[in-house]
Amino acid sequence: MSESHGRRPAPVSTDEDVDRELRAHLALHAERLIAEGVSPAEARRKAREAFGNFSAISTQCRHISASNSPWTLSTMIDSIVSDVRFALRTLRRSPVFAISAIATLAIGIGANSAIYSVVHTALIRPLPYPEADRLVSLWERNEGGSESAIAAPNFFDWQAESSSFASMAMMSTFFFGGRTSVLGGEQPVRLYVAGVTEDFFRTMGVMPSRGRAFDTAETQEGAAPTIVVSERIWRNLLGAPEDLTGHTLRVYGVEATVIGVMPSGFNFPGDSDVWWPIGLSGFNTSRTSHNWAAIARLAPDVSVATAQQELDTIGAALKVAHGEEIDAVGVVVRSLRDELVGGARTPMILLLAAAGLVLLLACTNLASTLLARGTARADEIAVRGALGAARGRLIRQLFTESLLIGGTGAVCGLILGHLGLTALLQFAPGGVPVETASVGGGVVGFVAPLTLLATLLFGLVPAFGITRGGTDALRSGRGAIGVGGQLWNVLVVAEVALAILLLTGAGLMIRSFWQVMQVHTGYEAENVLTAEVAIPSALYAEDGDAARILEAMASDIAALPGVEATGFVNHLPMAGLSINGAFNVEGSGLSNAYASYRVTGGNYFEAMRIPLLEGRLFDARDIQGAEPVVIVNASFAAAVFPGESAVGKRIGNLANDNWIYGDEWMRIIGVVGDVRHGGPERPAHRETYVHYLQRPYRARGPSFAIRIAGDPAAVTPLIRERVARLDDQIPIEFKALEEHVQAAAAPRTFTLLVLGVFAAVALSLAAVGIYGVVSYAVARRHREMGIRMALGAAPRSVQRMVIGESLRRVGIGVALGVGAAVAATRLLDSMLFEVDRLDPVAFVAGAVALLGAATLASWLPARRSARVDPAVAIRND
Amino acid sequence: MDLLKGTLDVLILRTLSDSPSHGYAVARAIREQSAETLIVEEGALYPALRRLEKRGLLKASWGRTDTGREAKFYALTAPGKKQLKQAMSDWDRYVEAMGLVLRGPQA
Repeated sequence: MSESHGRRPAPVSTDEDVDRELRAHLALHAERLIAEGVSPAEARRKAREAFGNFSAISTQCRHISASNSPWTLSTMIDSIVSDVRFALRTLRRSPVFAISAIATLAIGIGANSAIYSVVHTALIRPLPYPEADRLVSLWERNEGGSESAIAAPNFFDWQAESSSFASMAMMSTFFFGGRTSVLGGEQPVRLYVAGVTEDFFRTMGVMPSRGRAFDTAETQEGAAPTIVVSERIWRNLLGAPEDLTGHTLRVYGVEATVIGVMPSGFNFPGDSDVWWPIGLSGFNTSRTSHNWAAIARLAPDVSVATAQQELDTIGAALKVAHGEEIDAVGVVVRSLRDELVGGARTPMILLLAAAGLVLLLACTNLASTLLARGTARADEIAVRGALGAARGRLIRQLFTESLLIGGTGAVCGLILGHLGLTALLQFAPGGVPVETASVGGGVVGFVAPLTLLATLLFGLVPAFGITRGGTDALRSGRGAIGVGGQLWNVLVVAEVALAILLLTGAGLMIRSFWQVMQVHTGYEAENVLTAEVAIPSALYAEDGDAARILEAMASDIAALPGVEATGFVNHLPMAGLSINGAFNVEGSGLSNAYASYRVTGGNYFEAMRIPLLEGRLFDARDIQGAEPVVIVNASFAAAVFPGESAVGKRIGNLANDNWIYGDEWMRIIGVVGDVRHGGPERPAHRETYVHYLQRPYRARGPSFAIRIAGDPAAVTPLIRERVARLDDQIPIEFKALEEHVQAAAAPRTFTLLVLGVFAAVALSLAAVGIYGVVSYAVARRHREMGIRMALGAAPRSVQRMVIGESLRRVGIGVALGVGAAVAATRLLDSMLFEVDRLDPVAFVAGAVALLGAATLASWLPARRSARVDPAVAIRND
Repeated sequence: MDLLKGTLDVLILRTLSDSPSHGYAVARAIREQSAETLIVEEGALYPALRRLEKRGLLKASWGRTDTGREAKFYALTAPGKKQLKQAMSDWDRYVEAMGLVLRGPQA
């Protein structure tokens, strides 16, 4: 419709006469009422009442007059305000649409911002150390490619001969011991004490914020003990003193002077609270004593690969120089981030991909909802277009409406994302540095624009239909309505395919989880309480003293009512710790093979119900001074003594304990069942068990396993009381053994939980999408249904037709989704456990779940088609 | 019944095409001629009049009513008449198209 009208006459109206005109209106209305017999006062009141908001109308008129220059700020704001008001009014009239659109967006944005925040923090954002991308961890590489901790002499050779590093330091690995008792505050506490070499703080690039780091003299063998503590220890244990002078803590049985406090939040490695110079006790000179981890800072412009190359050369030369005395054949150089993230990378990327699918699904759903709405409003828009509403104005209004939905959805989504992130961090398995993750600018920049774009694009589709078709749309009477048809079918197919992808993935993870739960771990965790204790070396300096107090604790606990069996071990299964060592077999030379090494006491095997397969368990004969004995597991016996009995054979040099106990042989007295110490998904390794009375050195921080008949909660205070009666300086921590199992399965549970929630969201989004499309199709074809029924079709067959048409589209979507899943589950492969990635159960279950939901979502609106009254439908449409 | 924004403009033009009139009379005329179905609110009417005047479809002048009261009278301009003619023919086409669809193919 043409907007040009030639030369326009100058408007007579001015701002001043707006009110005059409106007052004239009131006077005319009142006059009329008086003529009808109303009293003058009453007439004036009624006229004013009938009139809307006088000043608002007046202002609106003035603005129209003022907008001779169309783009003044005030008119712009005015028209935006009026657009927003109009949009709000329209949305309020269809709350179901508004809420479902906003909820869809919020879920899409929420899921993505939560997952993306975690992934961003763990994989993208720099670690919280200066120039953290230059930090690497170092490990020894053994024959066969396995990695091990570092022997000190090797480290010193790397340090002396390499030039790739600005600085490097050794530190405790935490694989060789848990927390240590630290005394000096109100009560004994168990903390992670990190042994470090002099350059540790310089390598990390973080220095104490109070006091100072170790100087060279303080890290030498025999120096007076000094420690650096974390900010929280300084605050909670020392009482936040301004001046550190005179403050000491007892660590490893000696009084150590506190010389520095690290900045708040610095607890590397792991969750350390105390840093201790490892040089004090000197270094083991064996090149096969793998005691240490190492951290190094690459020199500027040196890459990990370059450093790797240099250390490989040095490592190979060392192997040639030292031959049998060294077992490392190379060095592993790994960026600190990779070291920390480790195996969590794959699940995280998987979850990010899943969240991406949810977002895509949300956008698709939103598109079809908006399209449906656009179609429903096609008539209104067509009429308004025909009657002269400016094209630009129409687009602007639809745009405003979409923007309002998109904006509200984005805000709700970010709030949801924040809540989701809080939940995620609660459940996130440890080890991944995500504690500080937050829904930040990166997320807003990543998710919000994408979703807004989708909203706007599809919100405007009906408008484009109008403007393109112009009045032709009206002439055909179908133009605007036809816009969505094909696109709609495509959207439903896409939604279904995306949902199938997520459902299949979740199905495979559920099946894997089920398989993991079915694994026989080799022991029975139910009804076993664990109690972690630490024998402070400050109070029990001699190994013999430590052994005696342990013996007393074991027999006191065993005597408690309700305790069936009790024993202890230095590292419980699935608690994340293990010692490995090379062993010799008598008469066959160095086998150069590794086995795990555990120290037990009391009736450990009975308490854990680890079955004895051959020979005997430890008993009263096995004391210090008697023949050293060892129990091996079935894998060990089968691998080392194939085809013959292991009992009676002798092995030695386990875990390099020969430097403590001398090079003596240990006789194998029994064979026990395999235990999956590394977690339910890790097969059992070769394992050896020794008795604590014969190897007391490694039994200072044992965990008791206490099998209880009845309620563990009733026994816990009794145990605490017994231990306190023996020595109230021994800290003790209780946990159900099953919690360790759950903790070992935590990463899988976590992935499963998130993926499951995503799949459920996907399923409901797809169902909502299908419901919407079928509803609108039924509404649109009201008349056709009426005719069919008028011509004799049974209501049920009409209903079947509607459902059938819907399910045909769903079927195409399922087929595409299954096809995509066949390709995409490749990504899942490494995370599956004893389940094929093309597992038919998961695929069929996913498809069935979706078809069920789709049938329900089609059936509900289809019922309406069956209830159509033919006469009414044909008359009214 | 609610009035759609676009429809008000054309109703105003149509009402004023018989003779120049003031706002109050326009509102009454639309109400009476639609058998009380279409009710024009003042909040929509006066801005619409302003807008139409500004677009050059109407011209305004102050005058007196039959009863001697002061009022602002609006009349169609030449572009206004042309716009009305165009809108009415669009409307006829729309109604005809709608009718074709709603009545369906003739048996």
